[in-house]
Amino acid sequence: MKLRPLFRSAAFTLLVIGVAFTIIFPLYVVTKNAFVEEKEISGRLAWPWSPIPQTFTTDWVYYLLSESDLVSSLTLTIFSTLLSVGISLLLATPAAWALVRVGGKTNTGFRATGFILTFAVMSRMFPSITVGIPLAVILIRLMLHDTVLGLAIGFTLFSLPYSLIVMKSQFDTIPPELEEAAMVDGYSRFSAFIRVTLPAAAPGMATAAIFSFLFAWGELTLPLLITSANRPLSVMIWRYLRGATMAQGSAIAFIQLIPVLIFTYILQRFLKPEYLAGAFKY
Amino acid sequence: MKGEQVTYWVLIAIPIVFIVAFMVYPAILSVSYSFSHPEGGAMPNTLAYEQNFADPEFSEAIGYNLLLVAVAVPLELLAGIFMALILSRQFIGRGLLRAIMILPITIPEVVFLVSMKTMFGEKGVVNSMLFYSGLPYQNLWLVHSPINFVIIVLVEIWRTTPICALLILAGIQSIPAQVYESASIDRATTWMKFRNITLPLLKPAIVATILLRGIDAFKIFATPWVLSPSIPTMTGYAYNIYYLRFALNPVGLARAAVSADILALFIVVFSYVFVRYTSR
Repeated sequence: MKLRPLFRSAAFTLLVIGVAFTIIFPLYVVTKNAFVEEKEISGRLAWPWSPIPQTFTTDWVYYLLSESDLVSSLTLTIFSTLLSVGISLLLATPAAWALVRVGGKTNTGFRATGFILTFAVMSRMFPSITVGIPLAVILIRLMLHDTVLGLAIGFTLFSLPYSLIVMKSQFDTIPPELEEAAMVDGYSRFSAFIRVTLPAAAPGMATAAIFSFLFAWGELTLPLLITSANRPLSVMIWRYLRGATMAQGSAIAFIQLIPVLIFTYILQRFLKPEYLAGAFKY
Repeated sequence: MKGEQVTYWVLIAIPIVFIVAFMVYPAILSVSYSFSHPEGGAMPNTLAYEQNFADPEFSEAIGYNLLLVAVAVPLELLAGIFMALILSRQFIGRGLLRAIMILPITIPEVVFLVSMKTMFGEKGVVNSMLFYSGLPYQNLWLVHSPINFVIIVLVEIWRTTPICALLILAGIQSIPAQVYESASIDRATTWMKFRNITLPLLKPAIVATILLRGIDAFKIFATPWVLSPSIPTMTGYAYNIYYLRFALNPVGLARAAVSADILALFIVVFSYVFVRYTSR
């Protein structure tokens, strides 16, 4: 009689382990590829594939970090990603705050949540390919083609609606009385926002920033279309994807993976499922 | 008070202007490109459309794209509900599993594809596992075949199940526990509870998941382009035309725009019909 629940919980545990394994295993494959010698990737040690690395070398990673192409690609990716996080927060934070306050006490019937969700869904409806080719033409006209700012504008298109959702739900949790108390003390509405509400909204800003960072960092289709000479890391990996050997591709992928793992670790601590409503990236 | 309202509306307008300038306006330009003359004439015409529809690869791309959406999205939803049900239970390591589950959302697509190339390559992981277990192995995973289609769908499920699961999970957590308690008093089985309580109350979450996931599924590009190079999706077709076949010339521009615009049209029609149908 006691056996059945035991069996069921064992099966459940196995299921959980299986799911976790399925998610982590591909990442292990990339990491292993990045640190084994050539002969284990395409040479005599390559077949059959062994789950345990038989050789170890940091040559690939060193080689890539000394290659000037890749170093400039890495710096381009870092700067454009950070710039896009900045633009995205700079535009989304005041807008989300205004959306929460605009009705004021006199209810104008304006529904901020509905507005933001519509905005997010509508902007997701534009495929990268439809936007990307004309955007490249526009950026060339604006002399922003192949620049950090041009790339950052492209990235921001995806993170902005998402940042709006996160910031709106963050400002919803901050009571307006806090701001009003500061205004009684002589602050204007705007400086009360800067000095009182904004510091209280720091967790939401962190979430929005990390998500914007991660999305821009891994974005492939748009940079593929709007850059030609200066290309971010995703596009550099893309070049190797149709080639035969995966060693260089894996090494770049590993470099690209490190910040993702760090930020994902930070992110999961204060992630709320509903934040993800606008976070559909793929 | 009046001035304050104006400031609010200006602050709200700035992101909208940004999106209109760099997303909506390019999309409109794309439509005008699709009607431009491939040889550079001034009059708008439908030559690019005619050329595209005369190209068998284009209709193949449309069919393949739609088939992927139709097969992958329901499976992703089912896998998402399944994962959400796991995560809604209390068990040791639940926090850890949730942390791991976020990874497919945050891992760059290309990083994952590098891994999949190694998985299904000729000397890859899958073939080696077949070899170890004494089964016949093949090196045809990555050429166009039904198995290849299955692989692409599985890869998409890997990448998108977590996002579906988290959305569904938010829905599950909003169902009050008392409903389940009173069902238990009436001796409802687990399945009956799922069928008669969880599923109906989850409808809004499921609708949102299908809508958002469906929109994004249409845009599928990198996975088939890397894992099944012979048949592109609609994005892949436009990319091939513009960057490979007619490298950056007006013919390619017009024809790529046609493929891109038809894709956008599919998404708009899907969203409109879906929202109309489900909001009744």
